[in-house]
Amino acid sequence: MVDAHSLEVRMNPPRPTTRQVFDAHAAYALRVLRYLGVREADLHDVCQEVFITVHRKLDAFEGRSEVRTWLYAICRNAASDYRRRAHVRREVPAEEPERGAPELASLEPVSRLEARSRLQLALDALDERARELFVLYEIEGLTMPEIAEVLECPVQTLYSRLHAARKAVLSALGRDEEGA
Amino acid sequence: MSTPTDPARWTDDASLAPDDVRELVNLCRADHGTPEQVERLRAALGPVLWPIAPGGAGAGKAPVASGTTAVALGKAAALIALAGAGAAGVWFGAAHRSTRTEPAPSASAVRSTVVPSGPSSEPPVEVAPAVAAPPTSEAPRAVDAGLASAHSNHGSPSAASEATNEAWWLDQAQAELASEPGRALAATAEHRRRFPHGALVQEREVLAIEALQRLGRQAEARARAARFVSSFPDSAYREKVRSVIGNP
Repeated sequence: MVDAHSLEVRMNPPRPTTRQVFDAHAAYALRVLRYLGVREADLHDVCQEVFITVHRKLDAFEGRSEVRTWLYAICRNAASDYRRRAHVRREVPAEEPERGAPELASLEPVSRLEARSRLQLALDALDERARELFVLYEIEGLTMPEIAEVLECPVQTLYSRLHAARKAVLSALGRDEEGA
Repeated sequence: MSTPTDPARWTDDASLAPDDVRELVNLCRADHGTPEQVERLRAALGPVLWPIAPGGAGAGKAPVASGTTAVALGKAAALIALAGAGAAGVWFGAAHRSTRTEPAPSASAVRSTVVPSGPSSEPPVEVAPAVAAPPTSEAPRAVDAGLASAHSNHGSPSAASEATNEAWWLDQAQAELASEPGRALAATAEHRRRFPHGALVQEREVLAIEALQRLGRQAEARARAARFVSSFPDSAYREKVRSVIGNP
């Protein structure tokens, strides 16, 4: 037997607070921004912008999608704005000399830093849409239907794009196109 | 998790990806950064986005954020008003990447030296304020000069950098809004000069609009509100701006 209150809560779960979103998803947001091309030196600032936006828009969040999906859209916009600003400044993030060597590098395992650096460089070879697709599928583990919703693109199109993105990543990693 | 039709991920055993590539992607999937990075973000955002609870550290030094103001500004007030202003440092801005924890200069300390000392009937003049436009008035520079003096008196080598902090300026504006809206307006103008494309432009504009309204400069408030709505048509503050100036 489900009482009316429980049913109401189940149907309309309480909207999370900014703090709850931050506590649950800050590390996720950092990772998404990082692999969407925000360089380490700017990661802190761009992530602040993301959570300011979360705070501004939380009242409008209706819970129709997962918080992560909603947050991803905000990160995606922030990363896109970031890349545009970098382009305007003629500062190409891909050419960042300190990539893979953030100020907190000493606190992170070398293997992770190396992996991050290698994959980021490979991802820089992709265009924006391919990069998003690759990150969402291979790094964030979303399903294709979920990605189709986020990127507003048919699933069938995503399959072919993923294949092309994988080939490009393998090529950038210096591998033949095996496994794409 | 995958749907039945999803191709095998590179991290799946069934994938044909080379082993070293699989390992590479696995490492990146587990790349959550460091706890220090998250805590640094929390230190920067926390005092602003989730103010200290009543009774918490610094609660006794709460800034001016009356119920009326909070209602009028809605989220802007919640965002900008620090429960522990004067005790809690707010660290926004690209210029600050350190993990400093020392307090920002208190509002009262700054007020005593930085704000033009003229009578309140002669508030700092702000000429034709516009979103993200370069400043044209002298008033913000007066504030700036005073702040530099305050920092000089402060004696801390890092104090000067505090003046470049975005949220700090808006905190000053928020603290002055109810009692000295002219000074609040000057603080927003200084914020605009320093951070024309800052992360808190919308919050600054909301504060400036209310300051103008409180100063009785209704035409300017309405004009600035109209520019705000035009510049940020999807802003969460849109209705709140309208409520401040009475639905232009």
